Amino acid sequence: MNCRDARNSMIFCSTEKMKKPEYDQFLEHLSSCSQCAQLYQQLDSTLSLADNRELVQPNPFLYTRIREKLDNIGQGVSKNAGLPSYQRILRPILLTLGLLIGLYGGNRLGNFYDAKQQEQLTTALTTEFFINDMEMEKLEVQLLNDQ
Amino acid sequence: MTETQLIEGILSKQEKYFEELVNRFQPLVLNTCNSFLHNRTDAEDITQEVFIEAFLSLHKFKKESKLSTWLYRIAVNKSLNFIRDNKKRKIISSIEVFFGGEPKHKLQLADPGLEDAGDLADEEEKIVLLNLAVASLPKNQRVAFTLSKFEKLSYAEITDVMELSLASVEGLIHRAKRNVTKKILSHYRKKLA
Ligand SMILES: [Zn+2]
Repeated sequence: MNCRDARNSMIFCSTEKMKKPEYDQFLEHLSSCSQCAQLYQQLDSTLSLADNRELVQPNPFLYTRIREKLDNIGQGVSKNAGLPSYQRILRPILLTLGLLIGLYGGNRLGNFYDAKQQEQLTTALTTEFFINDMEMEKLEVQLLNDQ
Repeated sequence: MTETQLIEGILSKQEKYFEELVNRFQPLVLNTCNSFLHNRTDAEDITQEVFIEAFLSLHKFKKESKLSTWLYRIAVNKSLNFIRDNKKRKIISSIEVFFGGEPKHKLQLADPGLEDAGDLADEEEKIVLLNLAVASLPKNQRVAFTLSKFEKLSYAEITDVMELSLASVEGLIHRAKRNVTKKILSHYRKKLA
């Protein structure tokens, strides 16, 4: 086998398996021809890179960018879209109802307020305050008297 | 979540389903684009376009095929269009230089860091050489070879993505392997001479 045949065998090897007598001749040529041996080694190591490619890691922000682009062309997606139409109509109605019930309930609670009881409590506090105030005055008077 | 649920959710424009599609298939789309473009930034840009196109044309998707097959097809088409529109001159001149062009020209690939083949480390040179050899193939051979060797798709899957017969795909990959080998061999022979 000469150098030209050896190179043809290298090309043949890329798609098919070489058969016995030819393969042995090819190996024999490589062992005796340093140029072809080097060529074959370089070719083989380059082709093997196709089988061991490094994978690109996903970008965690890619979705946000896609979403922005879709929004820009007026084709956005939505968190609520796709809900059945009765849900889309019912949801605001239920919210308004909840608010009204809350307001009404608050108003009713306010009506439980007992005006009379509150008046008595206020009077008691006021009286105590006056008593206390009087006591303070008493002390001042006592001090004045001591002088 | 099944593919059918995913598709129906996106068709009713619900965000969580579309987000799930992007998260589930981003590695597939991104790596396919990168296999053609050899540049992360370009691959990410095209990946975004792939998902936007998928979102806008999902109603055309035929449910008898797999979502991944359909996304591969969009990714391949978008990548090839990108090469045609933006990188045509760059890649062609790189191929000419690498495989027998004028030595005064510098090697250029999508990656701006790879300026001159002579300055490249051995491993980098091999990667660039392989990428350029594949990029120099006729379009169908390049797609079939890339999907087979880089994306590790079976011949049957490539048949679905490319919408060709099994015999055609086998023929394309066979010719692609021979052509890539010839290109690489010729480059090293010139270096030895
Ligand atoms: Zn030889």
